Amino acid sequence: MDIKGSFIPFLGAMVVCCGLFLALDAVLMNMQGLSLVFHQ
Amino acid sequence: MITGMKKPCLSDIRFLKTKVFLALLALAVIFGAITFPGFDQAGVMAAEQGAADQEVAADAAATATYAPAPKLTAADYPSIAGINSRVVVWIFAQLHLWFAAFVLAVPIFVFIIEVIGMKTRDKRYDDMAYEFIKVSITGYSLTAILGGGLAFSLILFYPHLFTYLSTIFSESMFYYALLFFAESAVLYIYYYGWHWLQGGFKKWVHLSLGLTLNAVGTTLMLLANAWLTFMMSPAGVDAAGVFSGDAWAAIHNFLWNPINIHRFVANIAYGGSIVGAYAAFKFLTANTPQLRAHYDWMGYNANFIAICALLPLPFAGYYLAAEIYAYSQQMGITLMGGIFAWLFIIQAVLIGTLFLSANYYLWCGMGRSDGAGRYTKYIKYIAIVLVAAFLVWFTPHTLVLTNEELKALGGPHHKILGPLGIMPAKNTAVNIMILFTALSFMFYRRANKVATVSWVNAGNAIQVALFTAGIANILLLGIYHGYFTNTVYKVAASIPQVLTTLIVIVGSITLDSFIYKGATEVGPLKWGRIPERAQYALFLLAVSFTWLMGLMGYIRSGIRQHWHVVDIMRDASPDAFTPTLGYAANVVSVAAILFMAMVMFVFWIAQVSGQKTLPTGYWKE
Repeated sequence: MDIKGSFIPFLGAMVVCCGLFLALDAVLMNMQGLSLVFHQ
Repeated sequence: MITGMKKPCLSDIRFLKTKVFLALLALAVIFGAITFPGFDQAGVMAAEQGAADQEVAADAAATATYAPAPKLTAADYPSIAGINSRVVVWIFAQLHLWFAAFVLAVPIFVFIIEVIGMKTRDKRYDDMAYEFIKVSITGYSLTAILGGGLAFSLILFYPHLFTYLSTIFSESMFYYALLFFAESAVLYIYYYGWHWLQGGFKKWVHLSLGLTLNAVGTTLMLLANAWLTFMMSPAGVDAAGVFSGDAWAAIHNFLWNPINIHRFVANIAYGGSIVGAYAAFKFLTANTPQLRAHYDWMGYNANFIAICALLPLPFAGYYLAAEIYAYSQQMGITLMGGIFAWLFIIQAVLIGTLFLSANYYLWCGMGRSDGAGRYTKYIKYIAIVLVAAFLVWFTPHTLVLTNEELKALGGPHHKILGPLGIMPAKNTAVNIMILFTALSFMFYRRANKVATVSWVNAGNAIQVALFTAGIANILLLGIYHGYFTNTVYKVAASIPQVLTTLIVIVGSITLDSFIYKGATEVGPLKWGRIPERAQYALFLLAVSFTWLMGLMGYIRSGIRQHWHVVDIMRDASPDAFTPTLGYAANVVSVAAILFMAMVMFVFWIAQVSGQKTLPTGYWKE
């Protein structure tokens, strides 16, 4: 698992993946009538 | 001595008379239609009016024949030779289910392996598929024998329940029997015709038989599932248990499909683990390097099948439990928060054992490749994560303590470990275990390959990012929604958790396929180069699966508590109580030992069927 010299691809992929996962969370919670952030 | 057997009562005789009357009426109508086809228009109208009247009368007659669910007393349950009827039915049902799961699952992956063999034209796959089905043939006979034992014990010990169920499911029980003939016929042609139906068109005929075998086998399972889910979530009957006559409503009850999905996936995982144990047994008894290599390869494939089905299995189980809650909150709370909750702690231990043994087998299997050294350094970290997740999974919410311990702790709830006892912590742990098992498998597949693409380091970095972001998201959903929101959010957050896990697994497999496109191999895999202790991991996998299925079978059946059919037909037998956890665990364990003894017999039969003795001088020349 050599990732030497690949910090930029790692950082880019992290930003993209985190963004996509948060968007997925928001969509799936919204489909259940809820929001991603909890409201009383 | 049999006591309390039901005599034919007035309603039974009336029911029989009505049936005979309707049958004669139907014959008369058919006879009339055949004999007098040339009648006039007025005759047609009169006949239509008459038929409509008869239909209404038949409907009324049909409705009138269905009696409410019987209200029983202890005297209605025959006692035979002082035998505990519940334990007899319990053990017969469990043994039947274990074998049924095995013989229904084997044709599923045999079909897939046969397709792979046809696609690759590699005869090893065909030979392995044949050997798998050979093991299941003896199991098939035992399934039928145990099914007969279960049916007889239900009729003998619970006659009124069986009568009530067979009234509602009369059609499906009849079709079940017919399908059993079809299953036997197709299976025997499929197995005994294996070497006859080879090559070209004949091979396609054989593959079609395999598909038919799976269609019939799965239909059998769906029908049997309808009967037992009706007992948990009855449909097609009114509050008194009077059958509406709609058989489909009774079959398609609330819990039918959740059970169908869970059992279908679990059967494949279980079948894989049993043939894995067979391969391990053959590996340990093999006396040539060629045989060891063959059975090592077979064991690897069996473990692969078991892991593929094991990974989605917790999600199917979660869906089933959620549907049980949705159907009856009382049943759901009994299941996960009442007397049965401790059995789920034992379940967590057993499932943890499954994951650890499957991973251990993969790690040992990396020794088949000379290139595995690049990845073995990561195994210890995967093991640490798996064990940590395993510990979280089986941490109970409240502890069983002595009075002194309770005083010292200030109650049964541990302030540090207690929060790990709720479902969001378990969900998070399960998802992480599944991800790290997928990671183990990814390392196994990479062990013998050298990537040749120029962007291999960037590809690896993206893989690391995908796993890191996925795990971070699972932890966010588990911790934030699990501890800082209400129950609705907690349950809802489990869905994005599951999808995150699936996306990471599918994404990493896809990415790997691009990274290793045109990759070179370190060298040929050395099949058979695996420590013998890895074979015991395969045995552990099969035993843990068996024990686990026995435990969960008891839980599924036991949450009906004092009902034969929940809220419809009360269990008035002397055994209508929930036994202690120790007693239930002992019955399940005895049944598991009986099953293992039978499985050893099946393996032994498969072994001796290939042996020949040359009796020199016995037969005349």
